[in-house]
Amino acid sequence: MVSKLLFFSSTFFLIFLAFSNGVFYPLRAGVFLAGAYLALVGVVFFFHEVPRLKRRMAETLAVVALFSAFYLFPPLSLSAIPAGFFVLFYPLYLGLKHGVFRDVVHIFLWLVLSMALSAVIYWPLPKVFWAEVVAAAVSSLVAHYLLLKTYAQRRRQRGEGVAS
Amino acid sequence: MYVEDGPEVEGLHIYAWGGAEWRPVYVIYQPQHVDTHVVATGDWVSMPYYNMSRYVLRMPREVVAPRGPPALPPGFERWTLEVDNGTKKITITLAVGREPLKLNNFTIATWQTFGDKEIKTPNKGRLKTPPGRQPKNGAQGGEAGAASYAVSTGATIYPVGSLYFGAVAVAGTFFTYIPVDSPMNHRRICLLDDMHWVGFEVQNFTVGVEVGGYVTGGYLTLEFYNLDTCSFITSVSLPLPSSGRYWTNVQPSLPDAQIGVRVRVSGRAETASIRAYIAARYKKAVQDLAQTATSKAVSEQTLLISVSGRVKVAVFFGPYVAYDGAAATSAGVIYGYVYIPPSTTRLTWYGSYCPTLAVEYYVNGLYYTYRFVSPSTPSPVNYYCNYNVPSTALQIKAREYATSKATSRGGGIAVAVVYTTMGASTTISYGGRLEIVYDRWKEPFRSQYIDSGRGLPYAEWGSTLLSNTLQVLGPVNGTTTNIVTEVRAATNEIILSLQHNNPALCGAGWRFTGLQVGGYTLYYGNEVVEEPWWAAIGRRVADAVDWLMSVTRDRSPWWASLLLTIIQNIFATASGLVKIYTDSSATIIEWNRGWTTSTPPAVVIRILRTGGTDVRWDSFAVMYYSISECYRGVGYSVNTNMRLPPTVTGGASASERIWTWRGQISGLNTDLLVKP
Repeated sequence: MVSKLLFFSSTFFLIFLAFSNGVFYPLRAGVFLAGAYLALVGVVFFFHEVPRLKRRMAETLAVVALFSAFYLFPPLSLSAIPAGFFVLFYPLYLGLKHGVFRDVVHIFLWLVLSMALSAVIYWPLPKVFWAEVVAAAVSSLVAHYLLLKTYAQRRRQRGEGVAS
Repeated sequence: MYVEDGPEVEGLHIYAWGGAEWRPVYVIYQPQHVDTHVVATGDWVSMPYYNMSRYVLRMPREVVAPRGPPALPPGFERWTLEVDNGTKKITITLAVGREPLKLNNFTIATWQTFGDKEIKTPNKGRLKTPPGRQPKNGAQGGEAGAASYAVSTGATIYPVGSLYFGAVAVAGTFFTYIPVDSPMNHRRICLLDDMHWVGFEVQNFTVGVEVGGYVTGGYLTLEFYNLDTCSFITSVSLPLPSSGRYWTNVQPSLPDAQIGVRVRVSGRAETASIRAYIAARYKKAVQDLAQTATSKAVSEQTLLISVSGRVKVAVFFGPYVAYDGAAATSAGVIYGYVYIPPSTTRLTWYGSYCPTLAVEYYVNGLYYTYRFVSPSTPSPVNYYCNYNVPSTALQIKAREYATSKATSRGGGIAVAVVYTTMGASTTISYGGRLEIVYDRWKEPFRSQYIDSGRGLPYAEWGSTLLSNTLQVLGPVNGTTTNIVTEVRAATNEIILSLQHNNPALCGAGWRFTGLQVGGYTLYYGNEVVEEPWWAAIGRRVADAVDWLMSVTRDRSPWWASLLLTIIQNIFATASGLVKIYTDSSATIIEWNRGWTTSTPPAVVIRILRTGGTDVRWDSFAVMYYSISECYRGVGYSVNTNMRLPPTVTGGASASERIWTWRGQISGLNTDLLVKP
């Protein structure tokens, strides 16, 4: 339940942030990336429980704090690139670690499928930033659902095969 | 010597024989203080008003008993001043000329000033001028036809602009240059500091000085340079008044080249501060009406004033910004007019008959004209006398504009209507808006406003517009946001410029129809905006990731894509960002200040123009900085039908156009109408 709440609230927050279609200075960028992190954690654990929620929240705040520190020491903004990798890949690692994703192939398939779906969903939408957020959120959730079902079905089939 | 009802002496240099040499005579105009209702603020203040025919001539004591003056200096007229101090009468010979006297390398200027207080002197003077001189001051103050003053193609006009200098603090024996006050940091030209860009086709100057403290043996020297060749042309040295605020007129002989000026002061002082305010006059040929613009300012719509117990009451409108370049005729009248709406005045009157109401009009504090208004009924009705003061239109004189600049008021145009109310309880109401309309030379420095060497419009003038706005409005409302933006279109490029005085402003957007554009260059002031090293590295890494993501297919709008967009944005916005959005109907160009920099007062975006034959500037918007972020702010309609011509024929003035929009976010709204 917490994960669903996390996903929807952070997705709506991201849409709100993206709605102005404006320029992102570090503070807003940090808040956006933190929101994206929560949305990704939410989508990965959408059908499960989010592990160590407090720690996830602390990581979210750390992202905002890091980006806010750019104003004090601008060259620190180079750390935005590894921070981006962290936001994208750490939820996937957590998913793998806690058994949401069965294996690396599962993650790879999820990436490819959600990218393909996002292109399809985005196609009729207005070509603005908030629509990209909508496409990303919906596609990642739908791809995750389809793959989980597929994997579960395959496991059942494999289980039935072993039993017979 | 106090002179009342004297002839016009502004613009003249007056000398009296001091027994051994001709000595300068200073002119101090005498004020009349009137309780004034300031329409912009609603306050009542006592303001000085001047009639240029009332002045005190301040001359050295030696001239009172002269040992017969020699022949007049060449080019000077003989005026005589008959002085009566109540016990005896004497006659003093004066030498009066348009050009000041010169002694060795020094110009012996005679300075003029607006007195703060009335000077009491028993010496009453009467000036006798040669036959055929100009009429007495103030007598020519007629009313203008509202439609008759507009610049026409082929006309020669005389725009008035101003130069902006800061203050210099001096102590002991000093010899120093007065710094240039430039929001765009234009202070060093031809490798010389404190050089002020003046421009082309310069005619003459009205030089104002303000000496705080006391200076002895002081000189103010104007050094003129040819900026095309970076060579010195000439200098004019003027004896500096020891204290106070004065102005004078100088007419150096200058070539038609790009002129620059440095202002040097020297002398001795215990401690003092010196400022210079200089108005420059130009001579321009109007080849195309697009070289000029018509500015219009209007007052608030309704106005009702109640007052009692005052002999005279003034209603003060303005000051309105009249930008550099106000175009005057050769006769010294600005192309334009001030329309004063009709007013109704009611006096509470206990006499049997209603008196005639005297109404005087002042422009920039200087007497313009008067009228007597008869009451609606000869006798009071219920103890009220009513007067319908009709509307009137006045011409603005270049003299009033230039002296406003030379006395630190920046060329603002203010109008006051003075009612003689004789102490009665009075209400004054206006039925319409006051209007000030005038034609302005948009680029006050060159008949052809494109630099043929660079092929670009001259950028420097933009900072003078901003300086001008700040100087005029500063005393009224220092917190007012002022924005000036211009779009300059040439055949191959579009140049957007923005000047403003609000540090919270962090972005702006211009919307065009029918424009196709390519790459851009961003300047803050006249310097290209450089990318910090770390932003360049970060941008390249982010671009490499972007390439990897899109190497197999177009970037999908997915999480990785969103995160990358945001990260790229951080590096792109480090020092300043220009975004160009194009769709089938419009091209929007947006600028945002960098998050590592403070807001620059002047922004210039030079954009390559790739197409579009019928381009229109639709709108303009600004954004404001709040909580470390830049948010969309107010949008302004810039009045459409500003078409930017694509033509390449007909020479420079036909192939480039400049459109201007400016906004003042205050009670004093000024709109700019641009001629097609």
